Amino acid sequence: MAKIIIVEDDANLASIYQQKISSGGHEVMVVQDKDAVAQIAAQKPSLVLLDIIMPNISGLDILRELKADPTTAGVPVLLLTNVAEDASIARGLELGAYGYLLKSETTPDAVLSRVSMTLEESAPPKP
Amino acid sequence: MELTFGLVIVTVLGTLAGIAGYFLMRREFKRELEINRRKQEELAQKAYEMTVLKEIGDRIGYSLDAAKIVEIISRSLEQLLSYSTVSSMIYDSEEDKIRFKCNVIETVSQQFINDVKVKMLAAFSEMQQVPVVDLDVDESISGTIVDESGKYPLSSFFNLPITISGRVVGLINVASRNSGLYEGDDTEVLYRIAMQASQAVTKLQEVLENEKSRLSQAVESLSDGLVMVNSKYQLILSNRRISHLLQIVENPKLFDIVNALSGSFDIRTKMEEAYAKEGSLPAQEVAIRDKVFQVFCSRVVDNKGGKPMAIVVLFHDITDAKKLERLRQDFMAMMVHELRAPLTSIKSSVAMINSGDVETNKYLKTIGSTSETMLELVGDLLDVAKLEAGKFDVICNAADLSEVVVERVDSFRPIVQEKRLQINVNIEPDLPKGWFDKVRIKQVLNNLLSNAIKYTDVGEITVSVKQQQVGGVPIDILVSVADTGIGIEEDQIEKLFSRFGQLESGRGNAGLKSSGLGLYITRKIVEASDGKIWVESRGEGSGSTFNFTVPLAQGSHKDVSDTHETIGNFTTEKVAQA
Repeated sequence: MAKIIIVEDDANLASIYQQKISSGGHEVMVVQDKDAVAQIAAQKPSLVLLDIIMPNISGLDILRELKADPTTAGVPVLLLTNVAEDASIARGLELGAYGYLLKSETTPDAVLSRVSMTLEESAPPKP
Repeated sequence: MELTFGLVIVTVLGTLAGIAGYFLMRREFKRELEINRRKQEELAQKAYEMTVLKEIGDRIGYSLDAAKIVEIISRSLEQLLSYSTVSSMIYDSEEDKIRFKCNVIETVSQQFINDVKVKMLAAFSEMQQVPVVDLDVDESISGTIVDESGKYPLSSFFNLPITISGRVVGLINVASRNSGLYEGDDTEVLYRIAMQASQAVTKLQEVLENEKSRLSQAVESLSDGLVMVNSKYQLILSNRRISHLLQIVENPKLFDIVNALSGSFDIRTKMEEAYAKEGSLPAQEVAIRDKVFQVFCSRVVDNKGGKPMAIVVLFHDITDAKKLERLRQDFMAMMVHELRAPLTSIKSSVAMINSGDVETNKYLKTIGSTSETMLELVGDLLDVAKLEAGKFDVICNAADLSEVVVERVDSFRPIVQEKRLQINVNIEPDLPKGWFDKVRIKQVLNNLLSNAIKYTDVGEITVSVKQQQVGGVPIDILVSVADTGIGIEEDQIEKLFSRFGQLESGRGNAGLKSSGLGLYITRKIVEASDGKIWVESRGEGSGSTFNFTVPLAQGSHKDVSDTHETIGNFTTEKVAQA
């Protein structure tokens, strides 16, 4: 059971992801680009799924802010992208994204498994 | 008696009249003769003048060099009259000097030459209406011995001004140690010659001036900025447009241009390069301030010797074209994104529904696979757009190729089984690491595998991966995808890798829709990763084999991860190395 925030402007897709990931037993919140940084800082989720191309703020800008703030720098971020934009993916990974997934090539099931995997990998070592 | 006397008187008177008549006639006759002789002389003189004039004209040719003209005229004078010295004086505006040349024919004193010089300077000052004494006089004396005794003073001389286009360009002086020369007719002839010569030259100059002004107007009205320098890199021509484009003063100095370009374009080095190279340098794109230029640099060669004598640099403003291109790309990217988002939504939604009803599941599957196809199509379009914009990135790393091949083949197994085909994978053991872009090479494999499956109804698909060696030295990795499908006619192979090059027969038989962009993109990816791609087929109905090569990680490539290779000069004309 982990807290996950999805930043995605496509309401349809966001709700599909929310449903699917919730079915894996996680608490999922969908937030808009403008509220993303504040919400993530407040909620301290275990994982963020972040869309890149959004109407108001680019996912990459959100990512940069998250990584600049020490309280949120440690939150793993998976970039969601629709277009295999090599340049922006490379930029995102450079900025400190944990990984990325291509929305068009990833089924909801695959998204869930990717989320679980990332959570496992990035979980702090248990004593 | 009286009669006789009368007769005598008549006879005497008659004789006297006859004698008087004779003398009268004779005088008249003589005058006629004199006129004739003079006319003849005049004619001879005219003919002579003409000959000299023609000779001068011939020698001047198309020269507009004042110094040369003066020299030619002064040399021709010899034929017309006698003199001791002939001198010329020309103002050299480039060096701000007066050139005085004196050719000595007969022995004269130094004082004689000095006198000639002083007289000429005086006349020159008069004509130019400025005192020219303070300017340096460049003196050169040639010819016979100069007498030291001062025996031969300057006794007669005259000055002959040479004017071109109403401007005095020089002065010719003819001087003699004998007095009383150069009076009357002789000098008139000379003036006439000088006048005619200068008229001819003036006309020639006008013609050239017109030609020049036409040329300079053409250069001025060019929509491109133009700079021309000579072989000493001195600016000889620049048009108003260049000042406008570079936002510098009109009639700039070379320094102004170099300065305006500094930081973005080293024009001096480019000029040197162009000067040394035959033809023109490849066009270069240069961004200066808010403008983008295509810069062409080429040398101008001498008509006769083919020696480079100048360098022309053209600045072609492509800012608008760039903007438009940018707009097109943005539009393309936006459109693709806008199409993908809803398609992704559809696909994901379908995946979420799990209906118990077989019929419903069948429809859902159709929706899923159709949206999948459309997504692929949109992806292909985006790739092609990127290829054309030269923005298709291939990021190569050292990686295990066999892993990727196995993974891809496995992903296709369900479809292969569905079509009741066989798929075999032969991977050579101990395969060295390859140098490739994982994501892009997956695209290549996807394309080749899906084609093989699409166009094969019976039989098997064999994927093999092996090292290629030349003389025992491994050179690259060869991947081949062979099928037993419909095959390809030889004359169709060329078209295969071109844009929208899907074959008619293939389209018909397969009953499957695709953009036909797949192999085009595949080829571009392989070529961008320094590989080759080609196809072998024994003709229609006997299957085909697609081969491509992947370079080895060791060897020509540095084993550095994340080398970013952008294919800058990708053009659609590139031909597949089949």
